[in-house]
Order: sequence, then structure tokens, then C-alpha cells
Amino acid sequence: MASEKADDLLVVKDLSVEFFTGHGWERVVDDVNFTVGWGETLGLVGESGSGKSVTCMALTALIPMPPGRVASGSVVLDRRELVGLSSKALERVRGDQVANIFQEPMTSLNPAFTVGEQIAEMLRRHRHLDKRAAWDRAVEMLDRVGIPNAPRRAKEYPHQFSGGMRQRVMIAMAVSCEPKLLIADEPTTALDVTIQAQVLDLLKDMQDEFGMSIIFITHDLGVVAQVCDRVVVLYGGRVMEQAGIDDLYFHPAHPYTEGLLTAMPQIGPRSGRLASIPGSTPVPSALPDGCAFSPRCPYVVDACRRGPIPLVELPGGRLSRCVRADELTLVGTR
Amino acid sequence: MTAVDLDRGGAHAAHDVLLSVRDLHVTFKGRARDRPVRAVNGVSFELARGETIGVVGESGSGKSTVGRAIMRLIPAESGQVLLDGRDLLTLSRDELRSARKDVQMVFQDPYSSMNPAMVVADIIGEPLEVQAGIKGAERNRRVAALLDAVGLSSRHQMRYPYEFSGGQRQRIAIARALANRPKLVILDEAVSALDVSTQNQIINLLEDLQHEMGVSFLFIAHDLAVVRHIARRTVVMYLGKVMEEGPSERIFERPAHPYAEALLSAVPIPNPVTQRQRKRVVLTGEPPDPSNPPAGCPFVTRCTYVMDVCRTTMPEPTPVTGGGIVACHLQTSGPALAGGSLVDLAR
Repeated sequence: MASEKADDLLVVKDLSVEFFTGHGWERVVDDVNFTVGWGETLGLVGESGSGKSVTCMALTALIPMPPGRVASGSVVLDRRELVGLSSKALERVRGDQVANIFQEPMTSLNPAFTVGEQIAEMLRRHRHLDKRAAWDRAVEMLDRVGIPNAPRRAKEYPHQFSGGMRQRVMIAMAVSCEPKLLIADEPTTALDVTIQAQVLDLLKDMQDEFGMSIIFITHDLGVVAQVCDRVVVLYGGRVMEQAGIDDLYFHPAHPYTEGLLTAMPQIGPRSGRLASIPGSTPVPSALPDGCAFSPRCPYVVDACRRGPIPLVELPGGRLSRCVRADELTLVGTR
Repeated sequence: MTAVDLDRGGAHAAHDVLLSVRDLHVTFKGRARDRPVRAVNGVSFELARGETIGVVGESGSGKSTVGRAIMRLIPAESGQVLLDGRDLLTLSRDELRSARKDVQMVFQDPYSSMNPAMVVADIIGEPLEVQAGIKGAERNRRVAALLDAVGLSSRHQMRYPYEFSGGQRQRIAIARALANRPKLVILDEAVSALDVSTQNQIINLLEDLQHEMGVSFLFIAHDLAVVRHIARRTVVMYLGKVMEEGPSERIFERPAHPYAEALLSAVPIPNPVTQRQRKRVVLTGEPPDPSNPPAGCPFVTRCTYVMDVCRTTMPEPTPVTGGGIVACHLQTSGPALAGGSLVDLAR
């Protein structure tokens, strides 16, 4: 299988994450497999509760444990297993080899330190720069991500920046140690559309300059079309489909992907009623037997409700977790 | 790009005007030493009966403040808000109380706009009792009918807000807003927090209800694709001012204001091929501080077409071919567009 080749940066295998709740251990990420190639941007797509954020937080053990736990699976970054690493070893991985940016930068920045100090701290810890060199590099990074008057603004605190500028600060901090992998969890969702465009362009520039791979988590299929090379579609904590960007949009191979694509309102000429997927997303404690999407699927047959549905490989190296993937002709982006 | 029906915008004038907002100003005065923030600075538009108008713009554009000022949740500094010819801004407290029956509002987060200790039957029934004096069996019958109208069942009546999903809660908020058959419902980012398929269910519901009840919607949103779908006309705001207004079809296909053009260009399109091919206008910088706006046109600091006159004088609204108005010096000065679209301007 193409996704098993050794030259991938990240190989996630059979990853399952559980949380302890009133109903015992509930599985919110179930046997998730995917890879990220060097320099590639992988989109992780799904609605609220699909498990996309938990999957990515589990990669570097960012989920609170307890109540969470990685129940099974392996996460190999550049041939090194991350599951089971000591917290000290993980600390060296985070920030240095894997960096995260989130929807709300204010929750990741320390309000009590200037942004320059926070970036310099990263460089001192991971790159062992001295105080002066770390500060200079921090200012250089702030300038590089488009913060006007960086030498002065490096001495300001996070609350003194606008939402868009704060996300730029986060990006400067994330790429300052030249990580191999950047995990961006809804990084532009809270931003205005013109600022989103700037930040997406900046991420692309940073990727070109530093050659890092990106996992881009989002619910916005417009953003995915703009930034991603390949996409993993999650639903109910499971991978429903995995495909290259053009295949996914023009020839979806899972009914859930079709549902998401046809539901996207278009900016073009108005066309009747908006399509929608009936019902709502399932909660982990109430997943149906068989396919997680079966209660909402317009193509459901009896076989969908029986036993675990395997993720099958289709021509072109793409994957679909649908028993009818071979026979269905689904509608993609027109 | 398809051909545009130039006459479509003109049809609006023949419609029955329900809401007329005229030169609305809302100013937030902080401490005495702070500069006042002119959140809404001379906004005018009209909304026809049974129609939907979209108000779009980014954070700080004043779009939500317009909605709140119409509801009189915050005081306007000057201007008029005429609902069926009656100025809501000059009503006394008692008059306002009865007028509120006609104007209702739905917010982004229904959970924070509902009393968590009340069951659904009371959340929806309260406006019936308070505003229309409908009690007892008749109230219960109306509540059941409203729940049915928004796609919930009457067995949900005795449940609390926390027992519902986000989409269902928004349905309850809509049922409550429609309880007394208002003439106007202001929807402030009412579908923004929902997943796309739930969002579409709510939009379809709103369209059905509008069709049945003839209610008008003022749809405030940052999502342009949603506004394109639901609103017959669109108002584009920036820093408290209307940059462009007109039929949605015309604005989305042939924007006449550089800000409208840039805003549309920034919307990611869910099509990877289109996305790779299209030329985008990426605006530099951020909107200016609303307490310290630039002189002249507020968009002057980010506009790619800026001319000298823009830095000194706010352009007057001028008519656009295809309907609506635009406030931009490009229409009258320099390479004058004279009512045309920016699409026609050779760069």
C-alpha cells in the first residue's frame, strides 16, 4: 500500500483514543491510520465531534491523561515511535520537531510574558541559543511573519495584538525551531475572511521556506481546497475516506464526503434549496453497529449495519470505508 | 461569469417597504478621555416585506450594532428606523414593549439566550403570554404548532435547553422569535456556530417559514456564501459605513466597490481547480482602529485603487448599473466607472 512507504515523515497506525466517562471508557478515535509525507499538507476534515482534534492532540500526547488514554496504536515520526515516550522525551519533540497552532492563540500564549520573550524561550530551550541570539532570532521571526515594526512589537504582550496578528505570532513561534511537522488546528476559523487569506498565504510561504509538513485540521472544505494536497475525512472517530485533493472533490468515494461537498453553499449563482445531511452527528456512546454513518446515509443497505466495515483500498491508492464504494457513483464538486 | 439581468434590481422599488433605516448613527462613548467609537456611521437601507436582506462585513464593521440598534437593545445617536412608517427610535418604553412583538431577534449562541431553568414549552410560551396574553390550552396548542413548524416534536416540550443539540436549540430560538408572528426577525450570525449540514437545515427552515408567514429577515453574517444563498439584497459594511448595497446577484457577480471585490475574492472556494486558477485580491493590513478612523474613505488604508481624493473626502453613494448603490470615488473620479462594476476596470 502506498501509504506504508518508509519515506513518509509521519506514520499513524491503528491509533485509538479513549476517555473515561460516566459510561466507562468511551472510544472517540477508533483505529485511525494515515501518513504524512515530507513537505506535504494533509487535511483532516470532519464535523464537530468527528475526532479530528483529539487525533492530532494524541500524536504528541497533548490530551489530558487521565481522563484520556491512547488505547492502542503507534505514531512514528521520522522513524521514531512517539507512543510510550517519557514526558521528558516528549517535551523535546514538541516545539522542536512537532509544533502546534490552534484556533485561539490567546490560550497558547502566556499573557504574562512579551511575545519576543516567549519565542526566545523556545529557541533557548530547543536550539540552545544564548539570550542575545535568541532574542535577535525571535525579532527576525516576527518580522518574517509580517508583523510591522517587529523590534518594538516583540516587547509587547499578547493582548496588545489583534486576532490576526496573534495568529502570526503563533506561527512565528511554531516555525522558529524549524519543526518537521506543523499541526494547525482550525488556525483561521476565528479570523475574518481577508485576514484568513493572509494567514493561509503566510503558512504556505513558511512551508516553502522551511520545508515542513503540515496537518491542517478544519471543517471548512473551502480552506481545504486551497491548502491541502491530500485529505483524510473523519466521522465518529473513524477514517471514512482518504484521497488526493482532486479525487476527493471531484470523485468522492464515500457518501459522507458527498454529503459534505454538496452541502457547501456556493458563492456562485443561487441554486434552489441547500443540500443537507439529515440527522446530526453521533455521540461516541451511541455509535451504531456497522458503519457509523449508516443512520444518515442515503445509500444504506443491510450490509452497512453489520459488523465492522473495513477501510478498503480503491484504484489510485485511495481509501474508503464504504461497503458500496465500488458500485456507487457519487456526486462531487461541480 | 454568466450574463447579468440588469433589470432585476429595479424591481425592488415596486415592493412594499417594511423597514427603512435612514442615516443611522450609533456611537459608543467610553471614558471621557477616550475617543468615541462611531460603530455605525450613517447607515441607510430598505427591506421589503417578506424579503431577506443580508448585512456582511468583518469584525468591527458595525453589522451587529445595526441589528441591535434596530431592536433598541442599544441606543442610537441619530437617524430613523421606520417599521411600516413608524419610527422605532422615538417610541416610549410602553410603545416599544408592544412594538417588540413585531421585531424579534435570533442570536449566534441560543444557549446563552435561553433561560437554562425553563423548559421548552415555557421558553416558547412566555412571549405568547407576555406579549399577546395567550394562556392555557390555547397557549399549549400554539407552542405545539410552533415546535412542529420548526421541525421539532411536541414531545420535546418538557425538556430543558441543555438536552438539545446546537441545531435543535437554534430551532427553539426561531420558534420563540416567531411565536407572535413578527414582521421582522433579525438573525445575528444565527447559523455561524453550526456544522454545515445543520446550518443548511436551519437555512432551509428559515426560507420555508418566510414563505409561509411572509416575515422579513435581516440576516447579519460574516459568511458570504450563506448570505448569497438566503438574501435577495446585500449590504456590505466597513468600519461603520455602507460601502455597497444592492441585489445580491449583482454584488456577488459584479461588485462595484474594491472592498466588496476583495471580500469576495478572499472567500475560499470548495473546488481545488478553481482555487488554483483564480486570481485573488489579498488585502494587506487590517481594518483601522474604529476609534481613530482615517480621514476620507475608511477603506483607504487597504485599498489597491486608492487615489488622492480618497484620503480627504468620503465618497457619496452613487447608483450602480444593475441595482443598488456604491460609495467609492472610482465611480466618479479617476478612471470613472460611472455605475459599472470593478470587473470592467482594466487593471
